[in-house]
Amino acid sequence: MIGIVMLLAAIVSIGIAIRASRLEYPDHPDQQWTARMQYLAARRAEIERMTGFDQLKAMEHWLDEFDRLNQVAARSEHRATLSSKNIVTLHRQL
Amino acid sequence: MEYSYWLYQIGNYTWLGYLIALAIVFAIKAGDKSYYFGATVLVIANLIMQILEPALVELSQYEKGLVRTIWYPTWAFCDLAAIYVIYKLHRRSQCTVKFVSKSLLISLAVLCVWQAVRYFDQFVLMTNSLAGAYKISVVSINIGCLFIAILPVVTKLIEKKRSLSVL
Repeated sequence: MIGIVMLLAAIVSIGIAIRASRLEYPDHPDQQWTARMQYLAARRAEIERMTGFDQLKAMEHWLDEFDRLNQVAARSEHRATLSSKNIVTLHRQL
Repeated sequence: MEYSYWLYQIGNYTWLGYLIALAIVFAIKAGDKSYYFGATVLVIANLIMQILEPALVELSQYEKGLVRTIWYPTWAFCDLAAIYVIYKLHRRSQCTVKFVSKSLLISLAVLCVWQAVRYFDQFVLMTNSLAGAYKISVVSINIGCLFIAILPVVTKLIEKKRSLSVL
């Protein structure tokens, strides 16, 4: 009886270990968030170097991009911060 | 010194090593979430086993038959429980099992299988031919886990050395 239980334990342990090693999740939302902010900062710096009409066009493009990024954002609170904070900044610049 | 007592002492030092490794990794922030799950469960599981071992040895003086039947299943159960907890923690926090945790899972699974093999060897088949191999391999796997647990520290040191040489 104990032998069967031991055998079962051994099989189950291998099963769980294999199943666990196959667990695949995307990067943590915080990491995605950091990467996204770095990207946006780079784009913003790029736009700030532009002048006049080019800047306006780039900003429009940036806002579209921004919406797209927000759609894939994993956390709603991040989404809210990202939109309000950056859109206000953009309006000020315009 | 009795051989089993020596084994127990090695187990104590190995457990202390796990704890120190975890503390160092935590202090220098070298580990990720997966590492902390794996290493913490390893430390707790080994602590439980180290506490249970003298208790079982003491019990063997009064209930020899009982200890004969529960000795190997106890360790197998501890290993299985540790594997399950590591798996569950990763699943709950939606965290991918990284190299260290994967290695610890494999080590624990091998230990669990090894307990079953040893049980069959001693009590079912009555061959008792794996006594030496069992003692050596359990200690070896535990020491191997210690090396795995310290791996993030080594990686961090190498990275630091590389970044300094670039500068």
